[in-house]
Amino acid sequence: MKSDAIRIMMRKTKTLLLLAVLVLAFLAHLYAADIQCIWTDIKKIVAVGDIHGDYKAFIKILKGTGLIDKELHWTGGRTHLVQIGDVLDRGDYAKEIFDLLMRLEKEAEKAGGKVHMLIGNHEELNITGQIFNREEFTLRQLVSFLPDGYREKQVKKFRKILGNNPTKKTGLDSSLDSNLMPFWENMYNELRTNRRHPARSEYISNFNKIYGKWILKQNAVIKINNIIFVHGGVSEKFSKWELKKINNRLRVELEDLRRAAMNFTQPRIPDYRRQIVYAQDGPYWYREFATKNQDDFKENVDRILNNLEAEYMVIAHTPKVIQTKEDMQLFQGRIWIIDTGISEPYRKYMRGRLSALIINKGKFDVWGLDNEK
Amino acid sequence: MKNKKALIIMIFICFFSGTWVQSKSQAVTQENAKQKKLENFLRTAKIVSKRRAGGRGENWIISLDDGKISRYGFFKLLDATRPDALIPDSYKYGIAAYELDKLLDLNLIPPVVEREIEGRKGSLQIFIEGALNESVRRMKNIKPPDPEKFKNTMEDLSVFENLTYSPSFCGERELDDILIMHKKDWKVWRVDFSEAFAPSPELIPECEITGCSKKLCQNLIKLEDEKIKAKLEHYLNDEEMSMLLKRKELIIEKIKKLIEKKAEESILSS
Repeated sequence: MKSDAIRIMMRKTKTLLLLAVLVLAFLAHLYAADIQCIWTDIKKIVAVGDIHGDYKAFIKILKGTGLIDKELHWTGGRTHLVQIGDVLDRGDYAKEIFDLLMRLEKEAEKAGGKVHMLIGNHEELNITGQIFNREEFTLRQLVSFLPDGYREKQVKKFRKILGNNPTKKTGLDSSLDSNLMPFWENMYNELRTNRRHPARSEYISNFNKIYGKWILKQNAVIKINNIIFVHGGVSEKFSKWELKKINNRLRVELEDLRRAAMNFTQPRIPDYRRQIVYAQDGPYWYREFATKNQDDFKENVDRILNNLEAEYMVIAHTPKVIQTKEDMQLFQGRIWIIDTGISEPYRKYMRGRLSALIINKGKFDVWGLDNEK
Repeated sequence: MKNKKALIIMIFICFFSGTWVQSKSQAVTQENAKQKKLENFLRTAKIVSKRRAGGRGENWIISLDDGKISRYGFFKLLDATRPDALIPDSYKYGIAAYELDKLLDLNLIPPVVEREIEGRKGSLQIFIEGALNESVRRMKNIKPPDPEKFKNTMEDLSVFENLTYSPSFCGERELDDILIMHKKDWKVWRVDFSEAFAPSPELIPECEITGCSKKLCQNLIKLEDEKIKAKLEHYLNDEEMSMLLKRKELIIEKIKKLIEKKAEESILSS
């Protein structure tokens, strides 16, 4: 009788312990989802707009603003670098930019500085695998994010068709030999229309395993001192949310889609229950600040910044041709637009230029107006 | 028993406001003829030029001319449908919404057809020019000349948005998809249903139905499921279709309950 009671008690204790562990795990998960998104007392901030795969331009800007040295190591000290999203697409070298950002993130941290890469709409398009049939998706980007094993296997196949001797050279550059390009082009054209093309799943899972996972540790909206940084803009609706809530909810929704894309399963959150991902008024698709009439929308801007307890907002997403510092300012300098068409396709076709916004002790300055070579 | 009585009353109200229906029927026929003409124009007019339009997908503004009239069309190419697409957004949902709008005789959506341009299939819709969007109207606090009529149209729109599960003005959403011909007759258009027809078995939580026109109520009750299936099955999958039909029943039920609670005059507008 007594032993039965002890057994029951022990079972209850076990259940309670298990419950406690589960609760703790859940709380830990919640805590982990909270990534810092507000900083104060930061002396120097350098913000860079949409890079769109232009590695060379990015290096030039980082060197020009004194954030890296010749060997591409962090020299920015306690500066905060904000890359405002849209590293991917249009240009070819997004992988190289991500690799650099991931390394600089660690180096800056050690020096007391910080590298922020904000989530842009093109990051969403790649994480969720919605990019393939869009014209901004480039062939080199496709090849660069394919897993090494899969890429090498394809190269072997291509060389066999060509009748070439197998080469010992491996790596991305050798995969992109000019005689192999017609094969890649063929694959690229096929997968753009064929949803079931195996290269699509290889791309999605490899991209997400490394880069998607890292992107999901970043924020979409941050506040440094009294300035909001966001790829598209914070709409009135989301200005009523806490920044932490915007970022956490976004990460939950994007992570759900990342897993679904990688595992070919249905997302757990149905599309009609999503609040931020792909929302026209979400932080990286919103375009109203760049497109609305400034007189008509001024009161909204004031209200939004008031809700966010901020003085300024730095946005990108909509490329703007600039000649002067004033060209980057909207709504009497309360909104700064830093997508100046940095990447090569924009410089070629729309008079884009390299730029960076430097905020030093509260003073706004622009790199790239006279010092671009 | 009580419910049955309410339903009979509702059907009575909807169907036997006969004089109203008769007086409107001529206008309806004219509208239908105009719609058909524009559909034909969209299908056959020559493409004069095209330029990129904004938006999250690939959209074009196309200049069209059939020798008699020139209009702009909005060509939408994105075609990511459920269940394959993780983020559904398809021109096909826009066409499905238009077909449903026609079945209900609402005339809230500008004519849109499926057309192939330069080897690519998409939807081509009459581009509404010179309109004020609801977002700007509210921002500038521009009052409609007939507030009652405007309110009734918005109520019908709310019903239709619940039916298609495509919220535009409920909660704190953006209102740019509601276009108002403020310089003419204050006709209201609703564009962009490309994310519509979510397979939700419920109505939109933040988009409450508060009333609807007698005409829409009548047409909703009258509209057979088979007719909807026949017109929309090309664009919707089975789940989207069955949830659409379910929401139709929920809307009828909702209106029935509203009539039960309040006087029918305050629920059904003429």
